[in-house]
Amino acid sequence: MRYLLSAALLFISISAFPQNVRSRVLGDDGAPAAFANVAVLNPDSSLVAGTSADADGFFIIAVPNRKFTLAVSCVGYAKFSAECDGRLPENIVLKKQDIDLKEVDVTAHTQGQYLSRIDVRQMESINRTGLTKLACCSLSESFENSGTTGTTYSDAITGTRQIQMLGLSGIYVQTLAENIPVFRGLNYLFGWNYTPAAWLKSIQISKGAASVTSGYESVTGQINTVFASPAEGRQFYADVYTDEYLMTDANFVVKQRVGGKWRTALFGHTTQSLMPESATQRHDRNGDGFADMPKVRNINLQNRWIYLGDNGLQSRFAVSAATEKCDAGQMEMDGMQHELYKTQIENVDFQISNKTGFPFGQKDGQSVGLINSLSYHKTDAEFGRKSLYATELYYYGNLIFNSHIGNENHKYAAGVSYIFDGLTNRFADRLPKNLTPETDFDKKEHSAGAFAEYSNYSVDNLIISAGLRADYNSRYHWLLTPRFNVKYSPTDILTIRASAGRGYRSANPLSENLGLFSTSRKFHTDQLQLLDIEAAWNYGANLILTVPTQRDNIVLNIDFYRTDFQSRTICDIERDRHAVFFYNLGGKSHAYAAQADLSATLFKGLTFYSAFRYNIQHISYTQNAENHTVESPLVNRFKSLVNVSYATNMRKWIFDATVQLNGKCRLPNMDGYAKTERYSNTYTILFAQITKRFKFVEIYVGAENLTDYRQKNPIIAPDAPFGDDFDASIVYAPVVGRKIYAGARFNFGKYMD
Amino acid sequence: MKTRNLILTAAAAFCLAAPAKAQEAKKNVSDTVTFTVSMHCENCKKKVENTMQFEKGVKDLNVSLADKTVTIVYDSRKTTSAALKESLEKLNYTVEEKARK
Repeated sequence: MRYLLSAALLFISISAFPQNVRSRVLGDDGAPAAFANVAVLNPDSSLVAGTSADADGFFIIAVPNRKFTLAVSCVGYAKFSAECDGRLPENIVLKKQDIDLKEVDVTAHTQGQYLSRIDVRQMESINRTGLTKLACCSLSESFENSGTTGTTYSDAITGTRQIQMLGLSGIYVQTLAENIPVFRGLNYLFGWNYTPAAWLKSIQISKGAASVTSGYESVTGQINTVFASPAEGRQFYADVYTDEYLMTDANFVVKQRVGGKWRTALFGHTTQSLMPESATQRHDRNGDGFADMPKVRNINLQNRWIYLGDNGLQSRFAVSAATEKCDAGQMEMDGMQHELYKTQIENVDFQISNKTGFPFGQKDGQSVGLINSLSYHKTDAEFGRKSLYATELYYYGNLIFNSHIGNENHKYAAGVSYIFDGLTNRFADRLPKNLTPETDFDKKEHSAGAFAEYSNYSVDNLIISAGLRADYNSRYHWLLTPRFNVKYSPTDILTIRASAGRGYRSANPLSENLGLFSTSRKFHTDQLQLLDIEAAWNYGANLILTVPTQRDNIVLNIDFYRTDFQSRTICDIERDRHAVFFYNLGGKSHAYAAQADLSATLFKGLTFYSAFRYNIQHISYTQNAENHTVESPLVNRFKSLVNVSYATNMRKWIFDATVQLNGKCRLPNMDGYAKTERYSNTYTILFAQITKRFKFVEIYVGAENLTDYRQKNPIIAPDAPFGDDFDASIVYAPVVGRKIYAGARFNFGKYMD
Repeated sequence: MKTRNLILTAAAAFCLAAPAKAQEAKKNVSDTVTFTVSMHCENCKKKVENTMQFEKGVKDLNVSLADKTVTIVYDSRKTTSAALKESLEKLNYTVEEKARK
């Protein structure tokens, strides 16, 4: 315990440290605007700090050393708002105005997701409203309403969801929990289940080149999750959810203030499949003998602590533990003589992290931040006669210095980082035709790097950011990561961005392709230890048009991104339907993604969001030094979604409906790289939910996949699971049909501050 | 026939009169009050919104953090501005009635 405490004390973040600055509010006649309200707002309009001016219009307020919005109001004057950057003007001048109390803006209906116009990177935020539009038990389910990210399924037996972004697998997205890397390596597939959406305050999804300060791993973008704050909302939160298959989910959050400087929150989650074994008809609607969904038992706990010191020191600690058991496969039927195909996965996950930051030196807005994070993950998985026993120990340390050159129009962040990643994989395949004995594929990487990022704000409405990092990886040697972002807002209604950058990723092909374990394919693992680090350039641009209306803004976004792989791990399932080959990319591989989305408040309470995206990805398979470039299998060419949400006065009733149209995808060839192309069907999925809010509880009922669309025969050769042709990995649509669910969320106790 | 005409006339008169009466009733019971409340952060705003929207008689609500005002449209048959002020004060804020219309 003493060691743990010592380690914890060593841990340390990057925050934009507030600085107290003084300014004055005057009317346009030169008279002071007495007792004016002054607020400093984040890009998402949430409040950073608020105060009131004195009788002479003077005030002192803490402002962050980054871009923020200053909002000033005073009775008798027009509201004032301006984008500021780490500083305040000496005087803030308000225009005189007569008061018109008729213009009362009634409680606005909150959009579930919105696009940032301030950040230099393209960023979509999903807030609590967005996270409660669907049941969203786990994080992976939170993206069904997002135009930016999509979900796919790993296989037809476990039904594990995976995310996709810019037409590429979620493995190329860097996922962060409050700016600390998570869900990577071995934890990539299951980590999404360990963060229940109920624990979160918001999610930020940014596309394209990310900041170099978080490492070299991001290729297509970043997803950052923000947890419910111990200083906000009511003290106790609890929820319970169940569906017609009795998959039951429960969460709690308890917040507590400890002394004057510490705040803490304890988060709990469990998922339990309560359907009795006897209800076989409910488990296997397609009659293939395999349960349509796994039996899951999952318990997660997390404890977060925040320390706010008097001298500007801020420190955040988090400890989490999760355990999960998943049973799936063939169900026992009367008269069955042969051995049953069973899938059993057991996961254990443990993480401890700290972020600490403090003001440094005499310069305003100058600070030092340190992040330390240690995680351990263990997976024991058996799929029929294939097995994978794997562990990963991951340490991430990052020290950042934030400052500016001359004035705050020239900001920079520079620092050093160190990463240790130790993976063990023990793979075996006992199918008679494959007979791969227990084989170890272990990997250890030490990565030490230095980085610098410069941001220029000197031209009005223009932000230019350029970053470079150099890392030495013990396995892959020198890695150079340049990244560049620019944002220009020529008018209030138009925002234009462009980005370019390189990212790297060390592949762990066995755990990242766990869906292929649900097949009879032979794994050709001879190249596993010879794989290069994956490297890709990503380029993109986006345009946001914001048209103000009487009630809200109509927001139109258009973006285009291209990812070019310089090296990539190819998982070849098309050379031979009875085999999987892993090897380095020999030819070319690239992905294009284009998206357009539109959001609007049609009238009071009714919001509309629509997105259309087009993806296409090409990869090259190599056999006998000959490259075969094909469209990547199982990537939907297009996806469109429409979400309509209606809330009655004060959001006491909320009605949500989402329609997703999933375009066709190419199905993998089963007999070599022949050009006989097969495509999946285009299909529609409908989600609907009704929520009724009371003072301390909200109750919801809803349905997923209301039209009951299911992939026909998702498992090939289900009658002979140990035979040569068995394959449950070719899944492009839901295996489980319509799912009706209901739940309740409780908020009670005192309000925290 | 005469009876039928009488019923139809009565029904028509009711249909025409009812909305007018309802409108009149609605007009009479809705009242608006604005309070200046010593809120200082986003959390305060949420606290006021979540509490006041479920108070008896509250029909609509606008909380402005920038103006530090809470404007409430309420059913005067079910509550009074004094009762609403008291509910706000229970949240430990200084409350002052600002304007009425």
